[in-house]
Amino acid sequence: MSIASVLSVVSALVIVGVIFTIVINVNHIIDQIEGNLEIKVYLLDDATQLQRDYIYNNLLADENVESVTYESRQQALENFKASLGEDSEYLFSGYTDGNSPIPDSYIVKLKTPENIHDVYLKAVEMDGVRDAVYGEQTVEKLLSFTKFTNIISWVIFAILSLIAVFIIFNTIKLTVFSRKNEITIMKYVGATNWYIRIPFIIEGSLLGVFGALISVLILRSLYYFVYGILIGSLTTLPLGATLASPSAVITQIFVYFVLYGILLGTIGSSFSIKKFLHV
Amino acid sequence: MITFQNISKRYDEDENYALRNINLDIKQGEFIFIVGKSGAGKSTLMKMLLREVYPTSGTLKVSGKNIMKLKEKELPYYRRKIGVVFQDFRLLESKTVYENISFAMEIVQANPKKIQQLTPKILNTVGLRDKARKYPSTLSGGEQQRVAIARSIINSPNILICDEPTGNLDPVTSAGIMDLLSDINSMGTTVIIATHDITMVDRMKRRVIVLDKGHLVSDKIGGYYN
Repeated sequence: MSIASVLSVVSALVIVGVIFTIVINVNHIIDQIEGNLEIKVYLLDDATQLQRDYIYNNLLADENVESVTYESRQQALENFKASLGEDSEYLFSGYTDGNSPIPDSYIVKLKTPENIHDVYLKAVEMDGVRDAVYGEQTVEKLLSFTKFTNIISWVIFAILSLIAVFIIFNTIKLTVFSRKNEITIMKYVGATNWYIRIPFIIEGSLLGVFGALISVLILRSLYYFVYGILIGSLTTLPLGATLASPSAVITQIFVYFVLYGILLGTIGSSFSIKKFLHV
Repeated sequence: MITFQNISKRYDEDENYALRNINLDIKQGEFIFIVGKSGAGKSTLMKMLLREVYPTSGTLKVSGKNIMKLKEKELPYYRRKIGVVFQDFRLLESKTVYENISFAMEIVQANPKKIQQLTPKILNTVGLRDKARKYPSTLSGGEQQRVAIARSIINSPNILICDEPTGNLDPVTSAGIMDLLSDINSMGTTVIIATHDITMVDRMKRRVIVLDKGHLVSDKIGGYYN
């Protein structure tokens, strides 16, 4: 196991790690945005209590729905005023709790954004419902962005994994080649293929694990550095989302990378010894 | 014990046969020379016994079993019953004489105590008791071949295959190696030796099989010229 091969594995894994960090952060941001996704189901002023109960129960029973909260017209007015700040008093001076221009509503939170349109369609069809709204474009953009980043990161991940396997394959092949004579003798004496394979697989896995550990250390410094800069300059991300905390990211990367290193090492070394076992 | 039935071997379709219609019976405990010029088919025959090479046609049975039908995972266990000695010794330079021999037992995952007991005994048998800690590069050719023989017999094989075992040795040393192989044979091991050392073959007066261009041309007891 040479320093050069460890470093080659490290460089491939660092790039994988950067991609992985981006994916963790995109998912982290999306999770937060998803948590804020809601449909506002506005009720008719003359909706009966029976209709209101039916709408509430029916929406809550939907498997895509996380929670349903009632917001009275008075609360809605207060919330709206609060969101606009000081000027709202002037704007809404003619409105009091009794004649709020905003109807009563149910705020429906969803588990995932995928079926938001179905829930919306179901809600607007119900008796006693005046209208329902949700950020249709935001959801669509969010979904397509998630898909896009996932596809791109999987492609890069696959290519770099192949490169890492190839580096390990070549390194172990050199070791196997230098012990070709020994392997032949072992085969003649009656060693099983697994008996011969295991030391090389261990060596390959160690190469993968060393590479993974060193790259985790590099990624850790890199992420703290980038996180510091971004936290300093970015005051807000869309919809109040934040970046994933460095400790959470490093823990995830550490666990995945050690396993990933072992896997890459095992695959790489298994391929490299295959040819030499046919004696 | 070993039966070659109409064995033919051609490595490539457009090449000549390395072996052609070989019919041969070898009994347990025999001592056999296989002689012939280079390219006569001696090595192919030996490799076939190790199942390193498959025949193009015919059947090869060892202890009643068609060894070409052995599954891949059965092969190591079959080979444990066969010892092999090569012309170029094939010792591991990084291991001592002792380690080169005990290594063969470690591979078959023998009990460590048994390895400690048996290795010095085998060293004694091949006359290298005082060379246990030496490295192969410090030994003479004859001594290196003795180490290789020790390694090949430590797992008590039924058959010992030797491919030109004296090819790199002088006549006196060769005679010593042959005597050692003869001693091993007297303990019940079937010994098959491929060689072109005719003088040696004549001196030993054992069963001699002559191959020529892949054909078995003679199978006699006594010597090459008899």
